[in-house]
Amino acid sequence: MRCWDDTCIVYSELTGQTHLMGSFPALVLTLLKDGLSNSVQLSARIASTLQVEDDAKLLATIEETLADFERLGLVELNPV
Amino acid sequence: MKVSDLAPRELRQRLIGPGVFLRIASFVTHVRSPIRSVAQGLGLLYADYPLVDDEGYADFHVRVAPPPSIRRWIQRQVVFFIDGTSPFKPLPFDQASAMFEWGLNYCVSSQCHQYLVIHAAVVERQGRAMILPAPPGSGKSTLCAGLVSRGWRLLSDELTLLRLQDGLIEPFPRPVSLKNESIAIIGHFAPQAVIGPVTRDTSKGAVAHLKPPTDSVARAREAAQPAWVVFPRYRPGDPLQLSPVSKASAFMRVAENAFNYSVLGPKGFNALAQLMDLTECFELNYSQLEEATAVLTALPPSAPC
Repeated sequence: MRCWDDTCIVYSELTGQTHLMGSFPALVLTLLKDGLSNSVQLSARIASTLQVEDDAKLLATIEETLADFERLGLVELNPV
Repeated sequence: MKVSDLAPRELRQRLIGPGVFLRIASFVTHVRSPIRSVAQGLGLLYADYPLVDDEGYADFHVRVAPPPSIRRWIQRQVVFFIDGTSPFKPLPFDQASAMFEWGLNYCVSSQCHQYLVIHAAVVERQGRAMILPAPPGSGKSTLCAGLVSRGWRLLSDELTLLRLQDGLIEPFPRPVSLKNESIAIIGHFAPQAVIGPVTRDTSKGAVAHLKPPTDSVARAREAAQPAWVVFPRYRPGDPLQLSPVSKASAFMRVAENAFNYSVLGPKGFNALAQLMDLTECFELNYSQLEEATAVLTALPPSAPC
């Protein structure tokens, strides 16, 4: 992943595809790479990093982002 | 020995027979052709290029010749062969010289994966290279020819070769392909320019090639540091506008214009990311060539050289 200003480019070795994304999904992807593996953990960490409320809205945004990642083949989601 | 050291008759005889080994920057191309217009095109547009030993190694063995079938007697056609195979359909016979140029582009863009090969013109000034990626019809070649006519060094009109090992641009200077109105525009803009014969009714319309400057050919082994990426767009009547483009957006646009980005995988990604680190990126809308070349020439240097 490479970022310039508030936009990032991600190369997926899984799919061979390159993706353009904003800083929020790039942060989610970075945290996944760092080992965080569920949306609740992600929400807590992102709230702390971005100094925002760890609430249902943030959690929903993260889950939408994860669903986008799955659709793009960047991650594989396991049902809870 | 250069191509211009051969008399036209001798060049033609060699092309009919054993061929010539033409050095274009880092590549040697073994060319054979029985077609007079190919010999004339080489004699005019490649006059300054070195010829190398006939016994030497060649990167590409190419032949431009009539097809080996009965069609040659029905409708005069020409075929481009590389290593004995023909990747394209035949073209009308009078497009033979242009087909040599297009075929050579194919050789490099399809085989030279030691580079990230970008569909872009590239020119250099004071050690800094400006890459001009654009789809056909964007005024890329016209702008390239204009810049070259105003003192920039031609690295390539069509194929930007970004070296994977050090991020430098490897020159591949060849005749600049001018299409339709651009032929007259450059003829007027640079009256001293040598432009080959016009081939009409090609898939791109009327096509003619501009002979590369002698200095660009002589310095064809000098790599250059990339400094700018400019996406040109020619539209009649448009006012001149040079606007910054974000590096991430430029990355995606250059990747779309690269022939082998997907083939190279992570190497291509890293090479392009490094290119973006080193360059400033712009979009240029223009309709007046003089204005466009002036604004690009006035850009301050960005990357360390």
